[in-house]
Amino acid sequence: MTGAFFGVLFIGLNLILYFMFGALFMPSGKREPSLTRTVFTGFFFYYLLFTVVCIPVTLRWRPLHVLTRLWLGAVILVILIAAVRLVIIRNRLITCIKKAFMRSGRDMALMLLVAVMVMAFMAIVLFNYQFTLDASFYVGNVTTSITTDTLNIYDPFTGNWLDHFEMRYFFATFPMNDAVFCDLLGIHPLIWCKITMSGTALVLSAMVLYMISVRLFDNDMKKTAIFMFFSLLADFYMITIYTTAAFITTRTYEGKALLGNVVLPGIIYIYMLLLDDVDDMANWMLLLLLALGSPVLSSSANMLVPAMIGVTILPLCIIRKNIKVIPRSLICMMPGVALTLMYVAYVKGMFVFYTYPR
Amino acid sequence: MQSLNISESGFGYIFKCIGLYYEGNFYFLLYLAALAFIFVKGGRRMKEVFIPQFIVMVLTVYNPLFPVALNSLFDVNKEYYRFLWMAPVVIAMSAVSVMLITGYTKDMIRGCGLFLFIACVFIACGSFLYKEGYIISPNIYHMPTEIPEVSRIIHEDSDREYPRALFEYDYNMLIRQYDGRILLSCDREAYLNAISGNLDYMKAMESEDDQDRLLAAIALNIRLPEDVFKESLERTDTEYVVVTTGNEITGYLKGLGFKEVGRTANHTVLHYDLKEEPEFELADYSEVWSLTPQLYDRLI
Repeated sequence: MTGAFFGVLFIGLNLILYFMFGALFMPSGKREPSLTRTVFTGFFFYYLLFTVVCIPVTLRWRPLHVLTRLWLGAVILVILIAAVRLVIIRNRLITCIKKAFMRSGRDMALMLLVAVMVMAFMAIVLFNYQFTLDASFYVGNVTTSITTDTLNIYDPFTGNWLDHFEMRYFFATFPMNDAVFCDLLGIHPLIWCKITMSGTALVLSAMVLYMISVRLFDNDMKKTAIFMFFSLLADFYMITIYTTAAFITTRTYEGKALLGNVVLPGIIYIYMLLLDDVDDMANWMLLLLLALGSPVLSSSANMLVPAMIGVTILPLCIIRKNIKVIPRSLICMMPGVALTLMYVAYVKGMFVFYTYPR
Repeated sequence: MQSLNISESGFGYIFKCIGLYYEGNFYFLLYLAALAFIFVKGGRRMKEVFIPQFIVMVLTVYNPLFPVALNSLFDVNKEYYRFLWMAPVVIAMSAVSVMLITGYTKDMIRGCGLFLFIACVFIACGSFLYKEGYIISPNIYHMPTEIPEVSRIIHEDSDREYPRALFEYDYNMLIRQYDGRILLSCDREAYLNAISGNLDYMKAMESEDDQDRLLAAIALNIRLPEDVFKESLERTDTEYVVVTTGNEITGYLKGLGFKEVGRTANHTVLHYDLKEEPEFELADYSEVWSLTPQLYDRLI
């Protein structure tokens, strides 16, 4: 029970971390800060920065505990800088928090209702037992990394030593972040993956839906509550083995669940921001951050994020009659395209990263 | 989608793909209905959010030519269905639900009635996740209770830090999530290949892969000649086999020299004395680190 308690507690830890990472980007000018947007921004920046630290350590065959210590140092540094920034903009932050939570009694009751719905959704999913095949890789990879104190050097399926890094998963360092936290906190990978990260994914997924509905319905809490109810209900009924709903309810700990339920709807959210002001560079930077941070979650993002940007954001050039949308969108598509080309080159045998020096 | 092939399906691929993706539910139709409602009755903002993206998807992802053209450049057979994730089905349906409930009735009772009606539509047109029953996780690990017990039995019996074992299908996929110190003789792909009808006695005998022979016995209950099976055990360093108690293969395994070393509620752990001591040690990278020094090496 203690393990479960800490597993749930660490969901809050994750959200606080993402908030602190996002606080580095909190606006200090005329733009109003937003708590949810801060967490959203921080989530992608967190994983982008983690990959920047993780990849060189992996390529140099260093043990997991080295990455853990390096990442701990990086996190502490970011938190300190974020704390200073929050102190500097404290008045705006306090205003933002007041605006978010000090509403009419009716709105507060509706926000509470939304929170209860989300927690009920989380409880139903987290208490459920599901046997999914891919967990043998994703969770197995975390357990293998912890057991061997290595990074991607042993096969998660069998435990055998691998002679090269599998490029399909090399840049998707999401499981390695799980391993780092299991190493740091002494928590079993199954508890971290199936309780903490699953819970985190569920909160983020609900948060993005909330952000979209607030934007769509001009902060009308009654409409948001209805929207959230139907969105969460649909997640239990739009079920085949292929749908995003199936991933968020049964494979919640996988990076793909975040891809389908946080990243792709997140692009729709950013699109809605750009509809209001297509020249707002802060929103374009957010899109770029998303494009850089999402391949870390799943290699499927390499293909899907550029496609989603092409399908959703590019039409803005016609809708808002703004030609600059094209180069900006193309820049945001570049990370996924580059990684896709890299993978194609690997499949064609043009390069290999070995797990030992040659 | 494993069962669909773009080359074979041709221009009909996208329709089959959508059919399989939404099999058992009508959410795609509800999505189209939602879009039609937004197009006719939606405000400017709603239309800008949902309609342009749908139009582009019709021209690309939903276009019968598109998967065929794309597959000629990249093999997208297994993953084309993920493009269908881009459609904001749930968001559009939920948004229209809000429009209907709040926009077309000011009467509270009618609003509640409409709310319940739409919820019933969502339920009736969908495929319930827990239609075969809601299973509560037996423990905080989200693992069958016997997994930790089996792990304990193997480690208590073994002299080695990393014993190698073979399990039936489900436990073979689960054990290393819980215990990374138990090595497996057979990987996931070999197991899936064996149970999907690609393996029989002749193929197992002729195969150069020892996994096929091990799986023929454990997964398919095929009794291979004793010397052949023992050779595969030796070459793969397989010391332990865990089977469901009462599995018919147990008699065969005991005849080969396996001994029962433990039992859980539903599983039996069998041990085989290999002729040669298996050698598995974690690779020592210390020399590699000294040859490729990094700034952060003091953290090692």
